[in-house]
Amino acid sequence: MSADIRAMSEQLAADPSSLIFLPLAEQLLGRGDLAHASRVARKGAERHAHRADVHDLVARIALAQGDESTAERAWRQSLSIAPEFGAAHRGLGFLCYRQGRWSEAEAHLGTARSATPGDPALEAAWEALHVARAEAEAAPAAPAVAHTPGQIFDEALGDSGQVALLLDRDGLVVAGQYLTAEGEDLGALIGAHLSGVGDEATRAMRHFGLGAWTRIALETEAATVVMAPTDDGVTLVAAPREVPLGLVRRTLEQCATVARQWLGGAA
Amino acid sequence: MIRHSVTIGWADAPLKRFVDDARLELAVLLHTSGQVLAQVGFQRSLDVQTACALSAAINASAEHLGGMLDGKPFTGLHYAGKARQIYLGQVPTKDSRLLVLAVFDTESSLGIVQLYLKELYANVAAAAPALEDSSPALAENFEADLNRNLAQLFGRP
Amino acid sequence: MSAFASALAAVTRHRGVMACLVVAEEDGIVIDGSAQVGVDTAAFAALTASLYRKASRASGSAGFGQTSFCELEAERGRVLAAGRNGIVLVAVAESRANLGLLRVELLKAAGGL
Repeated sequence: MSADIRAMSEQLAADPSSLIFLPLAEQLLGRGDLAHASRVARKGAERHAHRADVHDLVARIALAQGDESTAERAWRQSLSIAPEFGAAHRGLGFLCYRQGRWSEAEAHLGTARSATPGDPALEAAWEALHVARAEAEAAPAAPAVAHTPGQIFDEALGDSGQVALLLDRDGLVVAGQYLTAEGEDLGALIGAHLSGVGDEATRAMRHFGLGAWTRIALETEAATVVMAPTDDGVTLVAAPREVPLGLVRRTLEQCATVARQWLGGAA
Repeated sequence: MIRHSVTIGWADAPLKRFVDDARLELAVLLHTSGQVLAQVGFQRSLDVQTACALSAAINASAEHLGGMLDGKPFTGLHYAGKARQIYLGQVPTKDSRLLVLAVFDTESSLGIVQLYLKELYANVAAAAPALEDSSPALAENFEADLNRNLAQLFGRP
Repeated sequence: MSAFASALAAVTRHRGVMACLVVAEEDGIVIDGSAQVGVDTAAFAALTASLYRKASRASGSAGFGQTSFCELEAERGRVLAAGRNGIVLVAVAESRANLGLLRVELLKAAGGL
């Protein structure tokens, strides 16, 4: 451990609310110690959730870890705090470029260029984007960019703090993720517990004479949970209580559509 | 030993369905005499034998008690323990009646058991063979077996 | 007049409501209720209480805390349940019923259980 890092760690331990975590996480990121960098940055983001630069740091570390969905979420969080924050537009532009989301990449990189005109890295990215886009448009129609199973709902969920899971009939996660602030994926736990509710509803419908069930909504102390049958499994969306029920239902519809399309494509 | 009716097997499917639908832990379908027709979930044959002997005895008591107190036999009994509950009910058939003992925990409820009991009536009626086949196959020593089991259960030699 | 009469009346007066039942959460047995002819109240009570219990246990285990409201939407209607103190208030409604109104009414009525 370098003297710098040791000193900063001690300073942070002495004053956990200090902003020293920012250079500390940067140093750890620079040294490739991603696990520690991520931990420091996430802890800092919990304490300083109102700072756009903190979420940018979380995003860059997540990207270095290969976790694109967390990175995107963190950058979007930055933009919800500071809509013109250049670093977040730069990061999202780069991410969208990597994923072949050309229009979004162009919009974010354009905003980033306006924020820091003449930045050589941005100029190079801008040029590369247009070359790649022209090549892609000239090429014969290719299948849509495949998301990893964990990411298929990211666009439908946006920045609303909602999470979505696609579960099979046994309650196992097929797609989506439920990440805590610490980066732990609780999808399997949530899926295992909540999938039984769908089974219970299916049993009930045999006696109700109301046809098949199309949606279940649960309002709990901490969350609103909605689910809809999808193929022989269930699509589930969970949202903090402050998200309006109507919005959660709308998100469920979008996620169920995404899941059906994804299952159709994956089949 | 477990005694079966001569038409062993016909009651297995209706009882299995009852257990699955009502999410029971254990169930046994028996003649009012205590002879087992079908069981689901028991680990040991002795437990089935014991459950049948006790159920038949409880049913006989309840019928008499009901007659004394209410002018008609009691036909169902529910007992809620701390973790488990039992429901002992009569299952009418075309020509007679059977008994069902259901054991359940928090995965089910009295309401659920009673709801699916109605389905069990229909499924048993549909599956039951004709009277001459379905009557209990009383072995010569059945009465003696039953009495011995009850005596053992109540600690008498 | 039963202790639940006002809660039942507040829910059943809404358009499209076919039944409103006061149900014991643990055993799924109807305590009180009002239903249109032909509604199998025992089935709705037992199965909705069971669904509500299952949802409460599942949401608790998943870390979401206690369930206060549950809606089951189906092709030809919906079943709503709000619980408190071991009692669940169940409403069975046609699809045309105003969900927002019913939800508010049910939660309000459940608050008095």
